[in-house]
Amino acid sequence: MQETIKEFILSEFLPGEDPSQLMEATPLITGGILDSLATLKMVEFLEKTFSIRIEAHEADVDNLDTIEKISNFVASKTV
Amino acid sequence: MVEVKLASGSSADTGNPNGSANWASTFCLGLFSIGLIGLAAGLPGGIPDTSANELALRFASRGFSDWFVRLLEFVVLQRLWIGLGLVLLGGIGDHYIGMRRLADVVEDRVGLLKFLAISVQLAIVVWVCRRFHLEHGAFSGVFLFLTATGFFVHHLLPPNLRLPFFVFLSLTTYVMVLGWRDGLFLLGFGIVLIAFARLPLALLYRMILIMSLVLGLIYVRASGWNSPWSDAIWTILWSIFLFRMIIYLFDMRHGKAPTEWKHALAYFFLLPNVVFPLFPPVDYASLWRNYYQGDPFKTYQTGVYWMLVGVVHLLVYRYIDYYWIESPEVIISSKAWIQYVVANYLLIIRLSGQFHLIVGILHLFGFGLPRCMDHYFLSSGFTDYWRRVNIYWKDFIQKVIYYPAFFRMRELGNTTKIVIATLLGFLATWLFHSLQWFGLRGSWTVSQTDIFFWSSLAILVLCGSLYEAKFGRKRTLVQRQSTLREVAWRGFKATSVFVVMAFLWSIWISPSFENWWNLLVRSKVSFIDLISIVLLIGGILCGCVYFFDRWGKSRWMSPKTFWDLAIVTSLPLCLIVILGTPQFSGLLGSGVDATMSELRTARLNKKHDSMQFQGYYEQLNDVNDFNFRLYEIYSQKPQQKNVGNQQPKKVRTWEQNDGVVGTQLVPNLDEFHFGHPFRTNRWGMRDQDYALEREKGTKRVILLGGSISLGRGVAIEDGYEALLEKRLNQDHVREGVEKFEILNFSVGRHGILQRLVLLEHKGFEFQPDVVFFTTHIEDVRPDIRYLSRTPLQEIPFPEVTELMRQAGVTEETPEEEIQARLFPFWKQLLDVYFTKTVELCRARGTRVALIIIPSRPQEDEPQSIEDLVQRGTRAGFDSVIDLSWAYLGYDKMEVQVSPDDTHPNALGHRLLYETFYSELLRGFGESLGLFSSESTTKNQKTSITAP
Repeated sequence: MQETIKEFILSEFLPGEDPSQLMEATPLITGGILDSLATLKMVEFLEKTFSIRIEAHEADVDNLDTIEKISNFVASKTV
Repeated sequence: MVEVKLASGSSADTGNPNGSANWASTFCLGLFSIGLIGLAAGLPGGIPDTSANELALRFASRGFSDWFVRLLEFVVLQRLWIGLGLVLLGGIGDHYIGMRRLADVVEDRVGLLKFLAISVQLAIVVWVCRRFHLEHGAFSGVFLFLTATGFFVHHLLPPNLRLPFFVFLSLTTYVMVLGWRDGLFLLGFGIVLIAFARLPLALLYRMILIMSLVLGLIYVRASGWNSPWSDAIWTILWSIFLFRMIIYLFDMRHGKAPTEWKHALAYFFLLPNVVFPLFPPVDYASLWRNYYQGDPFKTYQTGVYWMLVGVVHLLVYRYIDYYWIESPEVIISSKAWIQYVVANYLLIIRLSGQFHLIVGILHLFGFGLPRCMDHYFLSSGFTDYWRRVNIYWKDFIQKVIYYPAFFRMRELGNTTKIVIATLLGFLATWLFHSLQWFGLRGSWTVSQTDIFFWSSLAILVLCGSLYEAKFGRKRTLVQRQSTLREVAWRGFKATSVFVVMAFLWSIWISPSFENWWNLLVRSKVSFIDLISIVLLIGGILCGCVYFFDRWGKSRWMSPKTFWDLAIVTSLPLCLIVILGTPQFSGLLGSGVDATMSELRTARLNKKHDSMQFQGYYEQLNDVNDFNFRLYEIYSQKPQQKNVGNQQPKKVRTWEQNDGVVGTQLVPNLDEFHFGHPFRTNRWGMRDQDYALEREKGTKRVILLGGSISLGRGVAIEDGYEALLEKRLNQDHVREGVEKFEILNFSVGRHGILQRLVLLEHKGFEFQPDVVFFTTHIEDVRPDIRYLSRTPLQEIPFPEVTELMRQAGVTEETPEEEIQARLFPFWKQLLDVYFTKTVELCRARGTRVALIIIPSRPQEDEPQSIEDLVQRGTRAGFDSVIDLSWAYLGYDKMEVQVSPDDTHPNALGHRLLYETFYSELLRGFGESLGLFSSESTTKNQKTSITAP
């Protein structure tokens, strides 16, 4: 799951960047990679890819700030 | 329920392994903490003896028993020694019967060193704020004192006691700043609102309850009910709850943050809110998410760093406000218009300074909040600008409006969703800004320019969002150096955003499009000037982009470690201390010394006389303009008894006199204003009562002037007019002159023409022997404002009307346009006023003296004074008495009412009186027929300082 998410982030938001620089704990929202529009794209991707439904209040730093948090969040939704 | 976990940075920071304190330990640390506060209060720069005495007197006046008042007096006067004793007692107790918390702190040598380094920097920040009189007296005084000592105590406490202590400190600070009554009422209302929000009811019912209370309070305020609390609490109450209640309900509903009372109290009664009514919408979840995360010392150090950034921003703001801002009336050239537009936009730096100070202060108590503003002048587009300029606001709108709207429209296309959500976000922004205005100022604002500004910004941000949604935005994981071409391109984009925003801002701060257009047209803005300023701004911004690109991530620009951050904070602090110390700034040349001397003084800019042209944030920051009671608290003026009344009541009484609309004080007033009793006699003078008929043997003088001669900010008996009258009666009564009477006809904000009309229609009825016609170099503003508001056909003297017509003023000319047209004619107007005054007095056989008083302490230019003297002499005044040097040898802060009120205080009035009297003794008194040569000779041998 983490690889899928990472690939999406690299292709969609960080084209041409070194994949090794994007770690599990790299801050995405607080680090300025995911702004509001990018967050919405990420939500759309997660909903489609993992067949989950994300609510507005869930699209925040607590759930989407790192790849690790995103995968944990998705995992909690798919259980 | 969400738990707040405290990260620990050192053994000393965690206290005992369980993170809990036993009662004995809590008691000892409590003694130690109280001792520290007492010790700090007793040290130089703490709480002065006078304040301590006032506290004891206040208890005494409220009927507390003698022994209690004596005990209190002893405690407050001996606070230094009692504090020292408690520190020792608490320390020893903690060591032997407590959990050795203090020993832990001392044993962690690295932690202790870091803590001391932070404490020293914090002390310097407090010193700088006091030295430069930043913001207002309550902030740089009691608030910073409590914050600094509170930080010290807070850190020494075990982690589990820190949050309760923060709540205690915040609540105490609210009461200390606002006073017992207002503070307790505010806390009471606040706690009820929080209790409603926490009731185990559906969200809808809770919202209904909250809205009912809010509407009830609004009704109470609007009804003018003589409530036991003052108006001061409304502004703060609204500032606390307007946005934070929405966020709190949202987060509680979604279980995003802790639900305990202590968390709610800490969140709503955030410490700095009591002194900063314009407060960023701090996010509840974010507050607790970042609470004590990571090294606490680094969090504290970051706080001091943000405070420094805030201080620097406020000093830059002050510089711009003092030297670049001009009143709209005097803008009649292309360059002046451009300066007006750019400088007014730059005033947003004040907001930035306040927000950085707020966030910095919260860091001192473990709240590691993210930055609130981020290099917004370097934005590469309008969407980028929106993300940087007020990050907390953007997050707030995104959380409660943008995302919920977007997620509700899942079935729609992406572009449609972005358009609708963005427009809704800006609609909410405009509405919330209007609500904020309503809550803080107590009035509603809907203007064309306001709507235009927000809708323009919405469209620009929307275009940027759609572009980004389609083409993406360049993001990087690793910082790379840009090429010069890339730097130039980014600089160009930043310049474009700056220019457009400055342009929109200038419209936003204008009362109407017509005002804005008139200003533009009459300034005859040239294309060359516009291009020049754009190139200049472009050059500066390209330089900034280049600088941040090359060195933005360097060790000293983005310090990562505690000590790097400490060095980066300390060096600029030391520089400010050097510049803030006259002994050092004097060594850098007279220009630097004069500028620093100006910056050390908080004063009202001349532009503030034209309140209508102030921007949204400027007006919300000018508490004295909309909440006089809160202004008094902030400026630490004596409190008024009549809490409801804000200004002296005025009534229009001159409409029947040549149609000139003037103002006069209400007769027989007996109220409290500007910190002192404000009584008027039956004739509407702030003076003792006088008969209309002059008694035989009485020398009667009429004094005409504005707020200075009125004695605004001093007791009636301390005004220079009362002192002079007393002295004349004491030493100059002689055969044929049994009594002197000086009738004070002064009215605040009266222009010279109004004084003249007052003299003609009312003053001469009192049969004066002499007229003291006072003026100062700033009289131009009230006078021209008055002329611009009076219909042309109702101006009393044809010479004045003729001059106005020469200036191009017609019946249709708008108010601001009249002001701009009349400014170049000011000196000619002055000549007309002076000549008319002399003519009127001569026709009645009354002697008349022109009295030139200082406008603001130490600010009058000698050439302007000389010009006034020459014009007065040419007009034929019997005497022209120059008192402009009355405050010579005194610091301006010694002689004015408060840092932000330049009216003379009691000492200032005494100096005015002494100078006035000495000038009369020098011969003016004799030439005006007040003194005989015998009495003059006698009194020249005696001291003038003892009436």
